[in-house]
Amino acid sequence: MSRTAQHSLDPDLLECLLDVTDPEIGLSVVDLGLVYRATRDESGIDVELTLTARSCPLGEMLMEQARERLAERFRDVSRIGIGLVWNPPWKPDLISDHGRELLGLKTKEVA
Amino acid sequence: MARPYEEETDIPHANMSLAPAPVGRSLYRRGAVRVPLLATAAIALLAGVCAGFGRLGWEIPHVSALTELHGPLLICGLFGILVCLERAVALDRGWAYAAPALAALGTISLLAGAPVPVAGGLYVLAAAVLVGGLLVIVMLQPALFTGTLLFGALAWLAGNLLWVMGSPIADVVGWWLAFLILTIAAERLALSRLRPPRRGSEALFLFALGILLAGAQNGIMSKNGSTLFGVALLVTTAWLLRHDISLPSLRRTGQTRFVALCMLLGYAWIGVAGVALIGLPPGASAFGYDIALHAILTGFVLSTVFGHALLILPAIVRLRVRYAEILYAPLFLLQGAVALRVASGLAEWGAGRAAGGVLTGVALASFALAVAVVSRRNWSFAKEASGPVC
Repeated sequence: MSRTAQHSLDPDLLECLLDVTDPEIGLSVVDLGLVYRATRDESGIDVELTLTARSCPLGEMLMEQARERLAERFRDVSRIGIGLVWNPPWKPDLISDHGRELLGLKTKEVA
Repeated sequence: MARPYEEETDIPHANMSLAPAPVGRSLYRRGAVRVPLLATAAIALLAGVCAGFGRLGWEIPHVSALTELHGPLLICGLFGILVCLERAVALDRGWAYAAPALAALGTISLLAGAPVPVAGGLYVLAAAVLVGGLLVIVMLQPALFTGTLLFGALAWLAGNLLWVMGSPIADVVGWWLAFLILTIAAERLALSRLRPPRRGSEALFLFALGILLAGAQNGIMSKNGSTLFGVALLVTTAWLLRHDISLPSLRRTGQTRFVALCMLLGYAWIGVAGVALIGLPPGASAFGYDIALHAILTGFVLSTVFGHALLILPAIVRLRVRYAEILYAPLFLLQGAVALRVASGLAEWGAGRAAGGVLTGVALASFALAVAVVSRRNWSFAKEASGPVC
């Protein structure tokens, strides 16, 4: 992941989003590499998610779960903005090392 | 250029987890559109199952008129509406909802006694809109799995057109089966990207897709059609066992393992259907048609539905459902029902077939009941005023 992308991912927000999972795959949106942006400032929280496929109907559900988790954890925040974005397209390279381990894929260091 | 789907929530109280929805939210994202469509699918399921009981010789009031519609109600009604609704939600465009709405109208027309050209014509239009939606998806994400979804919809369109033009259901059912098989296989192909890449995956998948469509074109009532279809199912089973995420997912826990088991049991049934289509061609054996169709539709498709209901209900109508181990009971009941149906067909035992049909109905009812019981505390169709996303 690029340095710019890393800077747009707040570690506290990512930790919270670890609770948002795809139950079929058994991985969080963070480990699947679906979180493209997660920032927090005085104006509120902004998160951008993507999906692995344009044909997938789970986008609204995952956005709702993300919103609920963030609202529960960051109770003092005034605004939560969640967006579903498609660029850049998701690819398996975005899966985290932890996710790769759970899926039986080679970790990025090895691969 | 991708159109980002964005919504913001201003949180007026620190302890509120759900805040007022933005004004001006599109109507189609609301439950008011989706819930009636899903309810029509449920009615199609109920009517289709009752029609099946009628076909097996059970006396049910008002069902005798529906017995010939058992297949259309379940394939075009139940699954047609569900597949169209899923794609409309994914596409997030208002016009895409015309597909499930037309399929729902087709279902209501069938139940109201409309002639096949009217109800079937509505299914044709539904399939045409679904094809349009999938064309958009293919253009947005060109890939083998999106293309396969498109071929699945085209197969449904072809079957519906032939049905409207007067072909018997037995001659068009290959297209309808291809619709469901390709739709599910495409979704598994998409998920296979989460497995280590293996050589030959796409080539094998394309081979199965090609001969499945050739089998549908020739018709499963013909000897070569049933053989092609059967070989396609065997190749698909082999592909799924080798490349799908379900086998490794069995090592996981909870819902992930449950879904994986549902899928693997389904794969076994399309393997059985493949063998049956080759060994007992529907055109030449008493129960070959019954065995193959129910192994595919009850064994494969309904097992898939059991696995995915807990994902799709919240995704489509925000009905919060919960996984619990008790859901294994109706799943195993369903497997027993299909096994009895297939074994009774092989033994040409009519009473066993009838019992298998009833057991399928019991499995469906107990699955719905189990989901309702384990989820009842979570159940909240999110109110329009407080829903943050839909």
